[in-house]
Amino acid sequence: MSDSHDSPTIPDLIKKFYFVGGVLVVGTIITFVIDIMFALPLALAAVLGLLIALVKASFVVAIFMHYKWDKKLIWITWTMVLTFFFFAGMMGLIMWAEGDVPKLDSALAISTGTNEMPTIWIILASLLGVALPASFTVFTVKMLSQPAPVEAAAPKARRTAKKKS
Amino acid sequence: MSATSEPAKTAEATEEQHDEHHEHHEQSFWRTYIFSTDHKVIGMQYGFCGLAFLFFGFCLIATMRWSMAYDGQAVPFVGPLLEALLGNNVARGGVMSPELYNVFGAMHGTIMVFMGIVPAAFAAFGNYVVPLQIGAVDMAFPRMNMASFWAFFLGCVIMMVSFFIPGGAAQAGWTSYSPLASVIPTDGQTYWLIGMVMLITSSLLGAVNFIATIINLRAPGMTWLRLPFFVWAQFITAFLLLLAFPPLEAAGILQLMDRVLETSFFLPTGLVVGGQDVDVSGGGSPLLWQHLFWFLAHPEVYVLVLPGMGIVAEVIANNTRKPIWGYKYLVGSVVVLGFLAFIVWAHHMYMTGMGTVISAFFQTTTLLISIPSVIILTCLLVSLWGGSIRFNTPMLFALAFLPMFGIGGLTGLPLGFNFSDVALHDSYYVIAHFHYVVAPGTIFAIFAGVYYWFPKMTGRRMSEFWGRVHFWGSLIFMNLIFMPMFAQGMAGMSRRMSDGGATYSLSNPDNADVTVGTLSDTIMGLNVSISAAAWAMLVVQLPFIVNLFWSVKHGEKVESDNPWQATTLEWETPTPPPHGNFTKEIKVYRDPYEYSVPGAKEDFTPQAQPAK
Amino acid sequence: MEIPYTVKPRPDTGLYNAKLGIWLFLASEVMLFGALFSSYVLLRVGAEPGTWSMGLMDLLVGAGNTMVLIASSMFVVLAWAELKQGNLAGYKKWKWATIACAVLFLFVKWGYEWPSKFKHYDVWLNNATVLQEKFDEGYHEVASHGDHGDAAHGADVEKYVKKIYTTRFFKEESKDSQLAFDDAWRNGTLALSGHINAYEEAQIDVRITGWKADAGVSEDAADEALVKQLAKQDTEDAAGLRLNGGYLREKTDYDTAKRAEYALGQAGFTVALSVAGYKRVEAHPWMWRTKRATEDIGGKPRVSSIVFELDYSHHKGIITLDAGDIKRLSAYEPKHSTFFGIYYTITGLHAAHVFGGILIMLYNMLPIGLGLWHRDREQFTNRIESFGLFWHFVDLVWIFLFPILYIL
Repeated sequence: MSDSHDSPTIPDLIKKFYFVGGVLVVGTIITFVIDIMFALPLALAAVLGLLIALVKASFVVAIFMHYKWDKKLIWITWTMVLTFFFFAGMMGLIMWAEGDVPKLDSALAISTGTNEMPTIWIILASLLGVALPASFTVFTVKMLSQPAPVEAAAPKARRTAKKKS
Repeated sequence: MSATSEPAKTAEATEEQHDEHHEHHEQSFWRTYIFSTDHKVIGMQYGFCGLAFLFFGFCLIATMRWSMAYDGQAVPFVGPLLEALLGNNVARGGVMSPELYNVFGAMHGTIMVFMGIVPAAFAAFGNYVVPLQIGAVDMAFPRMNMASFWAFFLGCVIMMVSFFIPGGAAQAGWTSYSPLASVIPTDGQTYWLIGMVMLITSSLLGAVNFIATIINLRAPGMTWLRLPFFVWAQFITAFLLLLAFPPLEAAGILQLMDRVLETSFFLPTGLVVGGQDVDVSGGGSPLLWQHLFWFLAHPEVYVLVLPGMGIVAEVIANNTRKPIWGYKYLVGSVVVLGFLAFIVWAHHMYMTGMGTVISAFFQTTTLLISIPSVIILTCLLVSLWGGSIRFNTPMLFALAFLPMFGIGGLTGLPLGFNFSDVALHDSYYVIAHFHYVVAPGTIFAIFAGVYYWFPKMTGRRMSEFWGRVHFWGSLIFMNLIFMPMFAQGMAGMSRRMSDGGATYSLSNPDNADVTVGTLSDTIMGLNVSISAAAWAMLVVQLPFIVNLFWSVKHGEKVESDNPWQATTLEWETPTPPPHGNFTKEIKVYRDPYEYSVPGAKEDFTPQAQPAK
Repeated sequence: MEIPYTVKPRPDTGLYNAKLGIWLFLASEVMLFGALFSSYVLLRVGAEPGTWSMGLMDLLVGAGNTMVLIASSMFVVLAWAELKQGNLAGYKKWKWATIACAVLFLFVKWGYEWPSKFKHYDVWLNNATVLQEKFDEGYHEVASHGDHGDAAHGADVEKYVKKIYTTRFFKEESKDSQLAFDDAWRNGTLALSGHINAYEEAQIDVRITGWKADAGVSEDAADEALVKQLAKQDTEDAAGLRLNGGYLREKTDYDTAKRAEYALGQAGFTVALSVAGYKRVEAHPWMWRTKRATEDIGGKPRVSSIVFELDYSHHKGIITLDAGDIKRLSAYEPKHSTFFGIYYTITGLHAAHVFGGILIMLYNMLPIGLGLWHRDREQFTNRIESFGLFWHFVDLVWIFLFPILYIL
């Protein structure tokens, strides 16, 4: 990390590190206790477990990996957002593809014309296909058109070049 | 470091001279040419390996074409060699067995994609040209760069060794679909997986290095919109590799577990092979492999194509003597293309019993991705308008790229629609389609790049005459090979048949009563003409190979450091560039393609030339 | 030649090279583990009802290892903070603590958790009625141990097994669980988990039934091969044995018998193996598979029965299962099921990352790595920061692994 990005002093940081360490320990204990004390339904347990994990993970990324003070570094953010997007896309689309399988009886129904897949779903899926790249384009343009925190050498050179040419 | 323009000769010949020029830090032959951390040497290592594997992969298919045209006859010339090297159980009397055909088929795909084009187009040109074009002294992580090359080399060695193990190399196609790939008893597939893990590791290291270099080592004044298009293409390609390859690595590890520790990630419950229940726990999903594989392999298509587009853009801008038309649209398109490449993969899987809703989604994204591709192609095409075009060899290859890639792209549309894909899936139409994209597409771009940057690498030009022979021969035979395959595919000829479809032909006595779904004699006859064209194609590559090695020592010397009168930064270096690249301080003052600027003295204004 | 921005961040991007590189590397790691997580979810959701085990993990070990990794993650960032203040001794202190945590983590995993799983078994029975009989027999033993004097009676076996089955595969009872259980009970696809306490291992007779003179092996060579396999190495005996046939060894163990069969087969003999009897072996065998237990030797199984200690939560029962009743036997190894397959794959890959991290940390603690500190303090600090980013990522992966593998 660079010291210029109004990051706290090292002793302050160390205090924060201990705090995050405490949060992680407490999170683990909560997970553990919930699991042995209550017999939760699977869906609820999954949501709760992953939620706690997500909170713990956010603290690790924000403080331990000092992303909190690095987040103006748009290339890291852009890469990681993209990565999580692709990860979610991979997971989501695979699940969707696996779930959207024509069943034998419904195939029979289609052949007799009684139970066709509503056209609206097909249209919506197509629209999603358009919306995803469109939103990515907007996101990228917005993200990259933000000025970098310390825009020093490069723009100056551009200005002089333009002025003189 | 002296600013010498003494051309480099072969490695051995220049060893002494090289040491003389490097008074500051003398390095041994090994450090300079074999375990080098210099991006240019690594680029050339990649380039040499890549071209060698392209040739080897082509030899494999040339041998397979014999089996398709003349099934059951001994392969001339190489038949005895096959028998001697691979044993008489797969090549008895020089006749190619179906098993050997499968081995060659799987390895042809693997070698061409992962060991040929990716190293040649992405790693070789990327390593050599990108740091020069952005005005950097080297890559951001030179030692990691070397590690990347040696991981690649190790992967290649593993792949090559697998030809000679009992049972031969992988047989399940370059796609390695499970359960077939998981249950084949020979060890070839295991070698393939381990080799792939090495190649993937190499690509990941390379991709990290490229992105870091482009983001952080640009010369002062080299803003994002002043990057040459080639750098942009490499930048996006590196992102594709970085984010798409790990899922294949994961899939490879899972399949390796299936093969070595007998898990059943890709093996369904109740799997029966050869009438026998397979002793596995079951519960796996064969489709999971296809999803993870194509999650890589579709972006991989763009990994193969984008560097080619970048090279073509450079060559076209230089030889039309005018700026690329629509530079900003090119950049935007390539970024969107990179994104879209990640959400189209399941169009390879329409035939897996996918539902209508999800295939509507993938169909939409697949057709959307043609938009940026067409924008790029259009921009390059429009750039020709009004240019004073120089028809030299690199330009010829670059020009041929445009219609060839166009054919490849447009014939992909019927494959992107799920309803027309049903008929064409896994036929020779598919083969023709993707070969038009990569063979006369990317490989022509690689040739253009070799002819174009050869003077920078060696200080000598390649022979123009033999270049033209190479070009016209390649162009004609390339089309004679792949154009008839569209007809074969639409007639229903399936891929991966060692007898070229003879089993299903009209003239097959077993098919006498059947008239529907058989292949006519005309279609079958095309097998022979395609094979002949393929062997002729092999012959016309010889001028290139001879030209390449001959010109290193005997080519016409270049008159200056900038023989093509180009604007980009790589021509600001001495020829060949020394370790550290630039002998003067580099600053960038203008856009990448300032050709024929009104009022300028010459018809090109280099990026590094300060304004008056 | 010097590569810029190896130490100081580039002003307009705010990054030095290594930090950029490590974040990009982490992006690819996210996709790697992401693909494995996706596979996990897909395999789990796509699993047939009643095949995905839950609650087989040792929760305490998992939670303990989580704590160890959290601590190490914290120590590594404290080590960096010490360096930032120019304190090399403090750095060394925290770094050794990190290494100790990492080693402890691997030790628990490779030294305790995995090996104990390799000794833990599931048995699938051919027929559930056997279970009823076995339970009726087994209860006496349970009662005599005095563990559960009030153990259920024979009639309750189905109910009792169903409870266990339902908790393991469904967590709570539902229509699906009832259907799956009925199916498993009827078809005998029930899995019983527990330990093998003892087993009856075959004692094998090795008999020479003939010798082919035309097999291309000389008489002397054949005799020599024979002598090597004899218990008492007697040359006189060999020639007679070769000509007349007879017992080579009696009541020997499987490995010796198989070795003799192979070696003598090479020398032109025909050899017959038969089971003479069974010997009880008190042991907890490792990594047995179905074939290991039930392999056919002259018409009899290699292991006639296993003494199986069921390890269901509140009831302990020891039953003896005959080889004929065993449909499938598997330790908790990767081949056991998709769940264990993915468990070993993901945690193994994660452990490989931890192992790699230990090597890098050691490098940075040895004089060769510390040399950089004396040459360029800032670069060394940056290097430790970059390593820390990697290490936190390894911790991050575990934070997600713990709930999905141990809890859910």
